[in-house]
Amino acid sequence: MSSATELRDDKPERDPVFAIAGNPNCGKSTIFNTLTGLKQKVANYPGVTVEKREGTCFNQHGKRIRLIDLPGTYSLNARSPDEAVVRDVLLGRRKDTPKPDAVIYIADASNLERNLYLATQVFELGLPSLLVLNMTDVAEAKQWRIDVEKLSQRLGIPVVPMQATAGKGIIELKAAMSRALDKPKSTVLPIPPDIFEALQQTRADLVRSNTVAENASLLEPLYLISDHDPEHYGIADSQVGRLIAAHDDLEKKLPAWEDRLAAARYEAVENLLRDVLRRPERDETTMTDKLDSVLLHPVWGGVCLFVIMGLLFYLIFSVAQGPMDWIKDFFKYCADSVKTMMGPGDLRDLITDGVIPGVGGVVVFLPQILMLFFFIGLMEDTGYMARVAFIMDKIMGKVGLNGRSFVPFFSSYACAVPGIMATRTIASPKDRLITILVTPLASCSARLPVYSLMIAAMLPGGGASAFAKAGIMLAMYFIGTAGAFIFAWIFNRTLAKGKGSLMVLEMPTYKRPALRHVALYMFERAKIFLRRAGTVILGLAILLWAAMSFPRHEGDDDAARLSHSIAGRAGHFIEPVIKPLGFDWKVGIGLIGSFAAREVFVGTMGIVYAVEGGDENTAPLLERMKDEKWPDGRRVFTPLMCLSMMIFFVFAMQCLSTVAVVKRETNGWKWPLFQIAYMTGAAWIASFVVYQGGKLIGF
Amino acid sequence: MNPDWQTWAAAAVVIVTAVLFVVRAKRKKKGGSCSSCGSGSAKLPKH
Repeated sequence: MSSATELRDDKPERDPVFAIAGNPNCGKSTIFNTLTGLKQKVANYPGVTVEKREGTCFNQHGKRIRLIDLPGTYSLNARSPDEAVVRDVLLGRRKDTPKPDAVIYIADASNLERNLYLATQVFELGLPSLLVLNMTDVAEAKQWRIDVEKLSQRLGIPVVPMQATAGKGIIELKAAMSRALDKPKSTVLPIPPDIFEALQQTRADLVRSNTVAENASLLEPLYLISDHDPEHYGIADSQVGRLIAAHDDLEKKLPAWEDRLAAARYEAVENLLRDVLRRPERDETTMTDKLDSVLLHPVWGGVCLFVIMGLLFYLIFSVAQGPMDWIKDFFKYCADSVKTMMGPGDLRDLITDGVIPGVGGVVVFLPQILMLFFFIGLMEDTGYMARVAFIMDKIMGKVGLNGRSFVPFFSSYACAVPGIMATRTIASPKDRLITILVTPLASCSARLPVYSLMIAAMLPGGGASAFAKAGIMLAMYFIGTAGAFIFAWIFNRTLAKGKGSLMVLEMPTYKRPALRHVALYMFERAKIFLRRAGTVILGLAILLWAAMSFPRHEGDDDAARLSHSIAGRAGHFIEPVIKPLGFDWKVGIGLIGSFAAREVFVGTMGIVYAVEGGDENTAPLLERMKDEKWPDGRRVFTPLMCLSMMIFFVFAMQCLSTVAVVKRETNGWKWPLFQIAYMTGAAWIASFVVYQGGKLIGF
Repeated sequence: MNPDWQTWAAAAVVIVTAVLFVVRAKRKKKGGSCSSCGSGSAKLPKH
């Protein structure tokens, strides 16, 4: 009787649990999404999934199956937190996850040597398994012929060819899942006899000292003692010493045993493939090779990146303008309607001066945000994002960031929170910390409304070309990236101790973007953006309106009312600190609001001028900003001040969600507080230099 | 419309909003997901 059958006999009520494992970027999450109907993020570069995700699906007979999508890994010898998740789930060491009853191992059919290495480790665990050969279209394009029947016979498990992005092979996969639980365990590939014997001895010693359970497989201690930094990965402190001692003993007995074991595995995989794979003597030049000869060229690669980014921002400004005007008109219509329907009073003011400018001021940027995510989605889905990392890698290496920092860093152009979570793929604690510290400097989508507003104030009128606006926007993204690299370089030499780690970055093949993925990505982001506008930003708009309207003095006009309000007083209080940056006290109110979330700045400025303007002045925010003057008659929103403001937002840490996630990932307040201090300090200094320097040279 | 009625209604909206923020902040202390990007509250094992 197979182990799975025994398990089902013990717990007949439990749904079978399948884990989806495999190398990074082989399509695990795509298959998981197709099977479960969930919308787990997928992209064409390695390291997108950093935690396990769970879902359910039904096999052909209507039986419910629980699925666990695991992060991609190259080996069960975990070296980073995301790899430890895979090891611990497959070994049944996670308290929050049942041990899987079976494993769906996904392999990239166009890169079998490397993909089957981890497969040998997974199959040896003794769980019923099935092998999915994904991306068969890419293998076929390379004229590879895989004998699926023979491979299945040699491994002793079902093998399913698939093209997950096109939905091909899903029915066959479900049929194979039904059969997998009743199949015998996979063939175990040979382990050199002396290593096998030594491992058996080690296992027995560790069982005697209660370091591993009695029913632990031979390989379980292997993965624990091969762990280069075990205290980081949830292994009890009392066991760590014994594991390190066992590892040292094994090293003494059999020097380089790990390398020999790896070589034996690769040899076994090579022998297997010799039997089942037919391929041309020389690989044909593929479309990926041709594109990479330009896009990864030392000179043209950089030029292409610059042009692509410039085009991105140009389209953001030109294409999004029409829909933005419609949204603006819609909110103006809402405000006018409320004023027509309600008599004067506080509730009407709350709606027309607080809620509508606060929420509408942010929602108006939805078209630009959608355009940004459309392009990010395209870059991720085609595989170009990994090329961006390659182009930047030289600089990243020089400043002390390794190849694996690219996913966290480039994810942060959308939002820093998933970016910081993606640092779990980084093995070296030092590299991970530095990446966490500098990741929020990548200009996230929440900065986009602020940049757009400031650029519009800087280049007024329809005369300013979208090219000029795109150029300024591109410069802000460049300054943020350069700032991150400079701080990484500084931290690498000062703050963080410890060894860095190397990583070979694997280039995914280019793929035609699945428009469904891109559309889904945009839809998800729009949903998140609008939900946030309808909850956090709406709430903050209400509170900020109250803070700008009270306490009220009889006889005050609207401008004096704002000045005497709680928010006005706070703005006046911080004015001496921000005046050298070119900001007045009203901008100070906006800055205070923006420390909750950056985009709140735009809404807050809308409320400031709505409250101050009262019923008489209902000009749009941009017009009000242009008319705003210092007491001596100078304009507040000069081009230099707008630039200073953008520079402040490039560097400042103004996101409570990011602070919370940094606290969680670094296990304490030390690093998030440091991050707030250094980023806000840098923002002030950079802004000061820009504003005062600009004034000195006559701007 | 009665202006007093509007003042009371506006005050109620502001107070309810403030209470919701406090409750939300307390709940977040336990959870820790991201409202801005929709990231889940997946936690690492102690490391």
